[in-house]
Amino acid sequence: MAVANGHAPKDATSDRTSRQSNVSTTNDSATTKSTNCNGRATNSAAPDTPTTKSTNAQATQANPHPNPRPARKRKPNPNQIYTSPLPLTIHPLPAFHPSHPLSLLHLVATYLSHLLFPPSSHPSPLYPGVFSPETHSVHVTDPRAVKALWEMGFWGKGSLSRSEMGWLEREKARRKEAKGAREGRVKVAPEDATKARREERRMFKLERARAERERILRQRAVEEGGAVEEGGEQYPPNGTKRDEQVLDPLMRNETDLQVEDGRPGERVPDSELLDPATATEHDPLIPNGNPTAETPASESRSQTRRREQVGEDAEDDEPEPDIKNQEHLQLTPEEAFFLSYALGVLAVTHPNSTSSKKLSPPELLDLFATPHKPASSSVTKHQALLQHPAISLNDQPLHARDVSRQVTDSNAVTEPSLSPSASTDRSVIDIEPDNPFLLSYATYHHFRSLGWVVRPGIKFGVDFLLYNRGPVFSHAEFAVVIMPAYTHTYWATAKGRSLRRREGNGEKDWWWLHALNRVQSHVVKTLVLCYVDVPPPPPTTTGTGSVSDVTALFARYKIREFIVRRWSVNRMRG
Amino acid sequence: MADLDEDALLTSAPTADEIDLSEETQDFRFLSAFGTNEVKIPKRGEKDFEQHGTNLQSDTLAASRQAMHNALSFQRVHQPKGYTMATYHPESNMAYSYNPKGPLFARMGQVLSALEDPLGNDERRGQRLWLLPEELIYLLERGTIDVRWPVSEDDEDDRALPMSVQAAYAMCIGGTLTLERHIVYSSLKRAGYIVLRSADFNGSGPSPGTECYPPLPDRTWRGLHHGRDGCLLQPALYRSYADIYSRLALVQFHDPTTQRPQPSNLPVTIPTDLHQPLSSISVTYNIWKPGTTMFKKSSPGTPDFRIAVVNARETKVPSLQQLSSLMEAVPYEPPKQDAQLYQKLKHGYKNVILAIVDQGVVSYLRLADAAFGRERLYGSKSPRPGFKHGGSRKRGQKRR
Repeated sequence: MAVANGHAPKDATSDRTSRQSNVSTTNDSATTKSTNCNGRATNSAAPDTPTTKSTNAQATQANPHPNPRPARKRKPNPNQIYTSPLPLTIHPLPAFHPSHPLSLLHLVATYLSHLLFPPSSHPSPLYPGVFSPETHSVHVTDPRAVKALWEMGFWGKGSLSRSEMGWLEREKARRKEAKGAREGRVKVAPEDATKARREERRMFKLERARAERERILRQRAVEEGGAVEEGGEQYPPNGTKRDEQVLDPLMRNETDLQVEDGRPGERVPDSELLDPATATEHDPLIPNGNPTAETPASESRSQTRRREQVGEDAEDDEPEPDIKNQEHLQLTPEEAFFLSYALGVLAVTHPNSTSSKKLSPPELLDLFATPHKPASSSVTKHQALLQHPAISLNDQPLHARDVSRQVTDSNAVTEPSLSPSASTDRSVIDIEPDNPFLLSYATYHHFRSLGWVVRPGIKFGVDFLLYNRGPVFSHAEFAVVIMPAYTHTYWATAKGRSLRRREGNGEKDWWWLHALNRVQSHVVKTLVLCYVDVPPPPPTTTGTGSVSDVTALFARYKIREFIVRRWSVNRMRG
Repeated sequence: MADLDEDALLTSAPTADEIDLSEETQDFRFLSAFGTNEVKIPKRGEKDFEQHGTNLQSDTLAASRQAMHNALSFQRVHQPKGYTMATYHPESNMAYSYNPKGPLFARMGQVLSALEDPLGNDERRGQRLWLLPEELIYLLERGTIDVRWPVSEDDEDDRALPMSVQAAYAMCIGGTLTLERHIVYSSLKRAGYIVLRSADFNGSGPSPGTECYPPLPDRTWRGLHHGRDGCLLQPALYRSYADIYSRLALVQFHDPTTQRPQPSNLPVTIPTDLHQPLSSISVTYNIWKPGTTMFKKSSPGTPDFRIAVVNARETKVPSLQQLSSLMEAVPYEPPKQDAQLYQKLKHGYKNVILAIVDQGVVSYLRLADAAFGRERLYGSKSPRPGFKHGGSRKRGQKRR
């Protein structure tokens, strides 16, 4: 703090000076609070109070070289956590070392035990998942399954988090912080780490802009013949006024940023800071089949109130409040189908079905290939209304007719998604070959079976992102966009042409490709055009609705990838 | 975790691939150094977005302007010794010149054989250099040659009328030489490349030769493991993930290493689309890098790049049929086997450069026939095949 103040100019920029001192105060306090990310704690207590000063003094004494950045907690080694690329356990035989004859014994013993009591690579019981018709995804709430699915292959995403489920950790951290407890034991959620990093970067940019301004001012002072001291931190007295005018937009911009974020200069009460938990309490996407979703937010509120009544001076060893996890892992249809059909580790059930029997791969395929109808949930509600004897719709004849027509209309379409047992009459071979789910699953399966970690790429305007080993290890290098191809002669016939899902060849124009490629090169990824050759519909005589049908179905697709990159005439000359 | 990549936007400076000097205003002061022998590639300075009122900035700008002015005001003269005359030949839409001088002609024009020469096999055939229409326009625009119309009876002496640039464009653009092709040709020539027409320039050339196919058929069979019931992967004891992955192989993929030429007696029937006629894309120009010293017109050798010119307004992003036939005619250039994974994938087994021309503006895209199916990630020994930070190319640029 002292260092920053010593270098800061004293005149004409007093507001900036005060801001700087605020910033440095924040940083120093952050040093004492190891995981304080954005100076929120500093805001809660006024920085000029004696307590804060004493804390700062203590910190300076303890550490002769105060580090402006908060000391980072040692991260867990991802190589030790994410060892398995698939949610299956393997049982390799121990290696035989000729130099150690006893290792042969170990080998034989392991082999025999595997022979007598063969362990399964599959989890037992299978990981449970519930299909959510509203979001057209599969929800997993079992903590064991959630942990395994994320750590072994990075499947799905937390419904209230960016990727890994972290709501519970964040919520615990938030409550601890609100309590004013030391945060030694609380794990930092990835979102909070990102927030801290962004703040740090923002401050760096402000500092860089300030340095650039001062450089210009110095240059101008030199040209105007003003005396400049060594170090150049002092502004010429005659130039100051004009400088302020010229640089006004920049300065104002900086001030805006400060005010907009509400820190560090502003005093914003803790309760008004945006917090993920406040937003999530009203999240409408809690699924029907989620058992933990029934806990209302009022419970947590009452806990908070109780803690407030106890006061700030409560003991640190107060047991953690039992927070129910409001979050679930949501799997895309491709992920769920791969886990269920290809790996066989996920048992997906349908919430509307009466039996808790898991859906077989053909049933799942039918479910996922059926277009997502957002109206299906409202239809279910109307059905419930109609079936309810206490509610009479006769008072409103028009409305009732509308409702009943809606129900009868959409029943025909959404029947398979409502009752999976009814879907057996429709075999998988009846799904049109260029159904978007079939194309996207064929692509997904192709890359997953080669060892890539495939994740949705909607945020980058593509279908999939390919990670090597997983997102915690490296950024995605490839961005895949699916291109349906109709090369088979069947699709050139009049019948085939009429059955194509896309008009003509489904062609895109060059502007689309350039836009996509420009985005990918900006985020340092490589665009992959993945042509999926659509086979003609299979002959209708075969097909029994079994799993072998599914395997035979996908074995008929063929994939060819083209990598697109900009080519620069000037770059390639040498 | 996709969001983590968004952070890259904030920090990552454009990488070397992205920087295109032609797309920004340059500091032309480097031109002042061209009088001397040492020529340095200009360094990228900091961009000034607004005037900040210092003399240093305005002086820099004035010096840059002056340098450009000096370079442009240099007097260019045509030496009488190097004066080159050419005569336009309307029937073949080409021009011919006798013994043209100058280094440009070492890489342009051609002496035609007795059968091909439109003027027949007279005694001066060996000295007659025929210039293609795009070469004619390029040289005429450049002021290198003086093209004359053919001599007619009205001309008083044997000196025919000179051809204007407008006339050259009017006569030469058309037929197989579209304006888009000429734009690509002239821009590549101005950048210093050696540009020759490919065999497919006038439509479909000869059928792809053996160089378009992998040398040895090393067919690899990948067994399909069908699940009897339940799922693809039977619940059982597995000893390695490689075993599991190999059992998951289900979807077919295009393997460029196993492609064989089609039997010639079976013509490949490409289904004709009634609504949108399938326009084939073919390689238009073969180009060699400017620094190529061993280039000979008689035996040009393997080109460095192959360019296919397409019109952005008349074509769409190519379909698989179009790309397949385009790639079929391109020589097989597999990546180095010991290269790193990402380099191998990006290099591809075949590659072609598309020049997409939209009303005079050219955008080049390199298309590589990448075979992801050939590079199994799960079998690789090293957990991080050849990269430090994944997509980022500069160390420390991005953070997780």
